[in-house]
Amino acid sequence: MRRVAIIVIAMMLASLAVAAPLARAATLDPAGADSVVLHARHEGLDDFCAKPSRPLSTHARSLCPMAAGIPQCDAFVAACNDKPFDPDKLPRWNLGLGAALASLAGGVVWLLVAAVIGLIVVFVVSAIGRARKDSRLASSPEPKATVVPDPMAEALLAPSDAEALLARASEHALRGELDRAALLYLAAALRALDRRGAIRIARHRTNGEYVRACKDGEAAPQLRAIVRAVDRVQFGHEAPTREAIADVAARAAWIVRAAVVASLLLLLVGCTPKSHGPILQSDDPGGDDLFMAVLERQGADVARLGGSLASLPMPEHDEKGPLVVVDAARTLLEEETRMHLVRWVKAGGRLLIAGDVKSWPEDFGAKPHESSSSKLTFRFPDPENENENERVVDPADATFKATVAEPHGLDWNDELGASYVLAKNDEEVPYAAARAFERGVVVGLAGDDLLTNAGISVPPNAAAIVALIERYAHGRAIRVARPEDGISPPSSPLAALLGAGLGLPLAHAAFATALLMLAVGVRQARARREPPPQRRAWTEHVAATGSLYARAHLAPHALSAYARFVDGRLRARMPRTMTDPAVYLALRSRADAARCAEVWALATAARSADRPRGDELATLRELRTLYAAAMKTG
Amino acid sequence: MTPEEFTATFDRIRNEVSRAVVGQREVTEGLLVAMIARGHVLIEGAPGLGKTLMARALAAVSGCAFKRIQFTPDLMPSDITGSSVFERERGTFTFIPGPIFAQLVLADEINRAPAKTQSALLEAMQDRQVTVDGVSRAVPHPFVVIATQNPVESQGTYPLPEAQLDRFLMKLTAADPPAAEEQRIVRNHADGFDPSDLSPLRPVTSPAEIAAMQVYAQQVRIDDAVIAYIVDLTRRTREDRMIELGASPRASIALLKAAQVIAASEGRTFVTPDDVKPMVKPVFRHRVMLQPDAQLQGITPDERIDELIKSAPVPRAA
Repeated sequence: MRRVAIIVIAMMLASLAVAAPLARAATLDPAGADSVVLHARHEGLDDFCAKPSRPLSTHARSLCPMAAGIPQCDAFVAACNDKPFDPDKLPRWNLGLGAALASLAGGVVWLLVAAVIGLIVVFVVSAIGRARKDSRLASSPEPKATVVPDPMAEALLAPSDAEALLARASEHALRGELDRAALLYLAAALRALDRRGAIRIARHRTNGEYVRACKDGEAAPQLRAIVRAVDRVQFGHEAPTREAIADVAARAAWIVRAAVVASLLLLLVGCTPKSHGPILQSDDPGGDDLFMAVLERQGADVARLGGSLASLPMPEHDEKGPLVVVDAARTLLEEETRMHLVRWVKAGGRLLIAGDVKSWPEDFGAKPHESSSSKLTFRFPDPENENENERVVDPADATFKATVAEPHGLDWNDELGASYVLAKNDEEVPYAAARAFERGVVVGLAGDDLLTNAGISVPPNAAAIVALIERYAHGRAIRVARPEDGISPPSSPLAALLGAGLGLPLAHAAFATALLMLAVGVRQARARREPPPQRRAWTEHVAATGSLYARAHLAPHALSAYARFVDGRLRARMPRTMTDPAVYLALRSRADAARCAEVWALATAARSADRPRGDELATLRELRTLYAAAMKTG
Repeated sequence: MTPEEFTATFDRIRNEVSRAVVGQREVTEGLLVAMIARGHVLIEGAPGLGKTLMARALAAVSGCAFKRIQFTPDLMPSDITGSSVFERERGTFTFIPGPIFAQLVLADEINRAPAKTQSALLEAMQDRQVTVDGVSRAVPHPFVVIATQNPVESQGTYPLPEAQLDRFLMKLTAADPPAAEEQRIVRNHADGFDPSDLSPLRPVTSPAEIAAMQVYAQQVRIDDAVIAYIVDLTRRTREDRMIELGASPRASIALLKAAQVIAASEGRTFVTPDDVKPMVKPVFRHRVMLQPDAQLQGITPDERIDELIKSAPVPRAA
């Protein structure tokens, strides 16, 4: 029953998740757009009017001619009367400081690059060193296990699903194999917790360790109860009762199903429409927050694009893709982005592009046209006519008036195909037009004023732009590009570095790395006189110290010090019944006892203050050989 | 004795000892486990960590007859075992028992005496009897030797021979207490705690009850799979490339006994691998001798035993 309930709840949630975007595909209402703008401003989206960011940006200042036409927008009007900011009047030291900071930043980047290279080299060299040091020990075989793993225990480590284990356990329980069922219930619970990351299954961990390490506070008591019951059966040889196994089954199912529900919820969260971030309030008169808010309040599925325009997925044949809105005055379109936009439109995409006609993709064939009138009239083609670029119906209710701040106009190159003029100013210069490109459509506006907070606030501009969007969105989702969406993403990390101007430092870093690797490689591959002895570190130390003493003519001291060391080590290992280290040395090294005694006598007789006789180093070498042999056999 | 009685007594002893010994919970518990498992304990640690206090507190709480032997370089075997003294009036030799004839013997700083004296303990520890002048005399029951030693690096010490080390069920390491517990120790002393006077501790059990606990712990069931796990762990110490001398079968038996006590203290009548694991290091650490290469690399027996535990699969089925 519980399982059925979970499935029903999941289906309900899933249906809600699917229904959400459908509910948002509503028809826009141009007639009510201006009142929606006022409501949105009253509910908080009024910062651009009440407290605009000062000084105004160049873009915002270009909208000042419309300020007087916006109701209750005194602060914006006052900001427009501020004296414009003049960068040429900055003090000279300010410019010098900028240059100094730029040089400092460049230096820091170089230091970082050098540090990264240094780290890589250190890691590589130390790894090689460690590998060489441990190679001898690693060649020894690992001890073999004498415990024969039980096939049931293997179930824990096999990539079996917790639900499947639970089902197998239930089958065993039904057949009356309660001990096996108990183990499989435990395995299912552990598997589910492992999947959830609450524990980590390993062969060497005990059941108690799983309980103590369980990070899921709610599951830990359940797991503890299961472990106690299963341990009684496994190790206590108690006959399992049906009641006890039923209890274990319920607890294991609770743990496993909790994981399933968690996964389901995650899945549902993943299935819900992707949020492209909240529509934030803005104090910029040139921002597009109000434009998006109006569309959203009218029921449109509107959001930020959430990715680069250069990576827009190509629309499929029958796909009703989104209407993408690009304000070219704010979104700088790179060449690669422009090329992709053209391909995307030809493949069936719908693009509304506004402002700065010169920055549009050249393939669209639009050119700026001089104009001096800012009064616009929008006329739209018959929405029932499929060929929207050829059929024109001009009923009175399809006409909208608008006012913009700066007079702009555009010309479409008719050689590329027929276009339909959507808006003209009083001088009959086209301001907005639409054109079909193969399977897609481009709607162009000569200026972006109608998309801005200030522009859409001037009645009846909102009605005009909403009508335009309604005509070309057709219930589609609307995605508005951000300023940074015009930049194409790098094809690889290398391209990103090159794009950031780090090509030369990269080449230097690569060269330096190759040089260092070569140096390390040469050193590692250098021929050696003899293979490294077993206890290389110690013997090298002794050899180096001996060489130092020899150069300093301190051979008696070297022999004396080494003899004391060997004496101490031998006495530490000697049986208590033995008193003579020389005898022990001979026994262990299996060397001639007389020669051992002779060498030992020479070595122990040496004193640091003695004058060199000439045979000290030979004696030392012989003693070293004997000592190494003695230690090796032990 | 029932499982509930065993658990209650075990907890009672542990809690009473912890009234005098702050921190060192692992060592205190190890002492108790070894006592019930009929084993002997070697405690190693730097001076001033409360090793002697722990042994004395356990004696006070358990009600066992307690004797302390301070090992010194000039200590003679007869100082431990006792000797026969000629009585002129009777004209016969009379045996005067040494301090070994106690139920709980504290061999303090055992590594300060030479090997000859150390080995005087061997027979008593293994066979629970002492032979003097050809006459064997049984030591009292229960009989536990708690030896303490400072790290062998200290001057003027005699390392215990391997045969002697193997007689100890476990070797416990007294570590420096955390800052908070050290503050509690100092606070206790400031409030008048006198480590030489343990009269505030009351006996919460009796030698007879401890003997009953020993009998009960021996009867705790152990599955073949768990025995195989114990043997596997022991054999791994012998096959490990970094260990020159591995643990003996006596270590397997010691591990089994310790695990039985742990299981009983948890109120269970059977042993699980969870009871075995925490006892592996105390039981093995003094029985394994590392290769010189491993010693040069700074590897400790505890680290190597940890690796072996991780490599051994835990049994999960009967």
